[in-house]
Amino acid sequence: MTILAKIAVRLWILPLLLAGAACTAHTLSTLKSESDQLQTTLGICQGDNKANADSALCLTSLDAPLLDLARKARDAAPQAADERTRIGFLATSALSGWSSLTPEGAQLADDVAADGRNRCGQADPKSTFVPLRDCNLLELEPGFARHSLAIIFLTEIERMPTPLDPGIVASLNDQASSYIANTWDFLESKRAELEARHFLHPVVAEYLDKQRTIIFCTAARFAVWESKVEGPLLPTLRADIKSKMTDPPHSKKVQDCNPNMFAPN
Amino acid sequence: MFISPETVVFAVRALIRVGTAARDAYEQHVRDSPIAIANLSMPPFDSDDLLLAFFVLDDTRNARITTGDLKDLLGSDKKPKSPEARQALKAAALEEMSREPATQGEYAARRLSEEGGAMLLAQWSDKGNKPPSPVTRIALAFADVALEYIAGNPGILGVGGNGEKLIGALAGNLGDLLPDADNPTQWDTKASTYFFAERSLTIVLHAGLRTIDQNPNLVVSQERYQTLLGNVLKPLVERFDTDPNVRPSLSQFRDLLIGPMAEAALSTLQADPRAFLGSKFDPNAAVGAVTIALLDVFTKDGLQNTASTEGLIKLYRAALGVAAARPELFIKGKDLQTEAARNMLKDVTAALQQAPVPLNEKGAIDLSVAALDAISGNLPRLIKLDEGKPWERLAGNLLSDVLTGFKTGLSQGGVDDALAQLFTPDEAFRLINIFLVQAAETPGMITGGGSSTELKGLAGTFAGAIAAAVAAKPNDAGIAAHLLTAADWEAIAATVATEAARNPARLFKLGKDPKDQLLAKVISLILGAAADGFRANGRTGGTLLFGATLRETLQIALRAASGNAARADAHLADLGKLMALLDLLMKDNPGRIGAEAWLFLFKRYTVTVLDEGLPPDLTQAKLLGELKS
Repeated sequence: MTILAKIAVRLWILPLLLAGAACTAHTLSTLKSESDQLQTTLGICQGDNKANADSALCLTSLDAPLLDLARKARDAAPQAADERTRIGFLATSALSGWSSLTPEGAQLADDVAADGRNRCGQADPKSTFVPLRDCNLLELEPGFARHSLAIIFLTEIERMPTPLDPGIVASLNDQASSYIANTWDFLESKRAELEARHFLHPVVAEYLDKQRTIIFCTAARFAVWESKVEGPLLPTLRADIKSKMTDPPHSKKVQDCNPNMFAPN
Repeated sequence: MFISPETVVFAVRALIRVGTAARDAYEQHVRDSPIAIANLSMPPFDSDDLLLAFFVLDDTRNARITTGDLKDLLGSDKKPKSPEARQALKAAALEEMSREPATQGEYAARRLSEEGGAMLLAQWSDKGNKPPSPVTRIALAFADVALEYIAGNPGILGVGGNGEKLIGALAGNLGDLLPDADNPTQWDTKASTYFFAERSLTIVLHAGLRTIDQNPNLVVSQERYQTLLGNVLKPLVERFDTDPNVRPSLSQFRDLLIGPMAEAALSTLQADPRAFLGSKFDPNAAVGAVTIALLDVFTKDGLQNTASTEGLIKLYRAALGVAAARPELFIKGKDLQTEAARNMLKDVTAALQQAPVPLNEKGAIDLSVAALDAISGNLPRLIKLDEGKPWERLAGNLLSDVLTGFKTGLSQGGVDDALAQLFTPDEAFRLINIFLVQAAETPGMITGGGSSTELKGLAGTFAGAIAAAVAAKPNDAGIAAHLLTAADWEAIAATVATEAARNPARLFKLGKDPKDQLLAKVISLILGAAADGFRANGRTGGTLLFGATLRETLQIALRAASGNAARADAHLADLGKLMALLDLLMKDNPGRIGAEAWLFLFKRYTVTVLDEGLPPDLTQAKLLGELKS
């Protein structure tokens, strides 16, 4: 028996180690594949070619699988041998968490993103290829999660009888007053910070560009509710929206929320 | 060969590192692949609320719906009071909008709406610093392995040298063996194949570098290396990829055999470079057929249960020898004759079931190798003589006939383990190999279509004679067989095989009982006389029939009997009388008759005695006269 063969025999555990590594990678591969499928479906559900009721049903049906995926990715992260792979798991978990439009998912996203941001921060770019996209998403997660919580709230009160309960109105005021700061302000400042560090992936920046309209529309939705409940925040909210989102270069209009809504008959 | 601890450490470290590199590369691929990400969710916003938002977000417009011209169109729930109210609000909104320029946001929103779905986010931008691709990383890992080897073997990677060609050849095979690095589907679905192929390549790299290091004068082109090693590796990787059921066996096969197999292939190339150059048939392709055949006998026929790793490699090397000698046998058109090669290996290993002790252990594979070697040197003649019968059966039939003959003969001789009593496994192997070689060289003694009764009978008769010599009988303590060394027995076997080949149907005749064959009777007569003499006299000088003298006596008698079998059978008893006469002469003339004189006189009269019987006038005086003359 040649020496290499002997070594190979004695190192019979190597295939197992490799298989173990393959399992980790395969798990990430599987979870990412599952995530891609759910995110693509989510995008289709969000399309305005569906009636609102259908769209809502479509979106709701994804909540549970997204939350489940967020948990699986979170639980798989510690098994990763490579720190960057672990960050990949955490990013997948965070993305699924905030996309699930559940309070638990948003909380989970906050938790795993905090862990991920810490790991990204400890990686030295001079000696390690820090995974840019994954770290970008983890950095931006708080803004995305706050948006999700806002959507959850807006969806809930949409179904409530009017006039709204005073406690709900108080919550509405809370949410309306903090939404722009927690999403728009947060994301824009984080974006500026990442750009200054030359750590923002251009594709992530493009993604952020596309989300401005959605955030504007969500802020507008809060404004409408404030108008309906004749809350005290409407003037402030209106001014805030106007100062940030209706000035170049980020000018947005209500018709951006659904361009077809105002199309002439 | 002495293997330094440093070499062992190097090998272990290299194996581990390459395994890690493969794992890292795959993980990198997975985590760096683009992800789909949907836009953030839009809030629920029905058309009436959107219409309301248009007015609410602007102080002036808001004044119109709260205190101005439009205030009566909305109810207390801030919804249009009626369809007409809704139309009026919408008309007012459109009028306001017509006075505003289109914004970037409007186009962005349209795009958002039209694109829908999710966008793909890559891990890395085109610009900036990013890690090398997984394939590049594998190449780096290979280079790392090679460089570490070179550290202990400077010069192996000289420009244009064999080491450089070898690495180039392996790199040339990467594309065929690894999944397509640019195809995510392959990476996702063929991860295990990737690991398997990558590790196989690295093992071959080690084996190749070692072979080259040991054969510095090897002159081979990179293309030859590439094709040769590709034909060793591709069948293995393809089988792994396509047949998940045998993957555990293939992993075992790879770890145990692929390195030595690559060494065997390269050594075959080194031993006979002309066989791999300018041939009408590509021996490299034949290597592929042999590799697949070995894979099959390992993974499907369970050969690893009966043969050691070394044995399997010997078998592979021997089969490569056949392929190098007659590559056309392994290729028909463009098709590899893998089944023929597999049958060849199966037959030569199946025949081992007949192997007598001490050759029935894993070392018996040497007999299979010997049969293949014996055949490969005589293939053209054998195939021609065999009139197109399956060539792949030749080696198996040869081995089966000889081993069956030996087993049967030993059994009939009464001592199944006679060979084990007389010989070590190596000695027993050499004894049997004599018959394998002689039979392969003798026209008509083996056939491709069936077994040879002649060969079985010959081997059986010889083995029976050995067993009879070993057996203890009432008047024979069984010491005769022990008066000869293993080398003496081999010489006698060679004489028997040669004489049987030269003079068919003399020493051995079809249809006769083994013990009645002339061959058995000659051996029995002479060994019986030797035993009697030794028992009576020991080493007092009263007998010379042991060791070399006994061997030569047997050889002389066998040659003489073979040349005149019919009369020899009739006068065999007289040969015993001649030996007794010579012994008496020696006793009476101890100072004049030694072994050399005894053999001289025995040889002088054997042919005559076997032909006509003992001459009546043969006296001691006449014999002494012969010595004088």
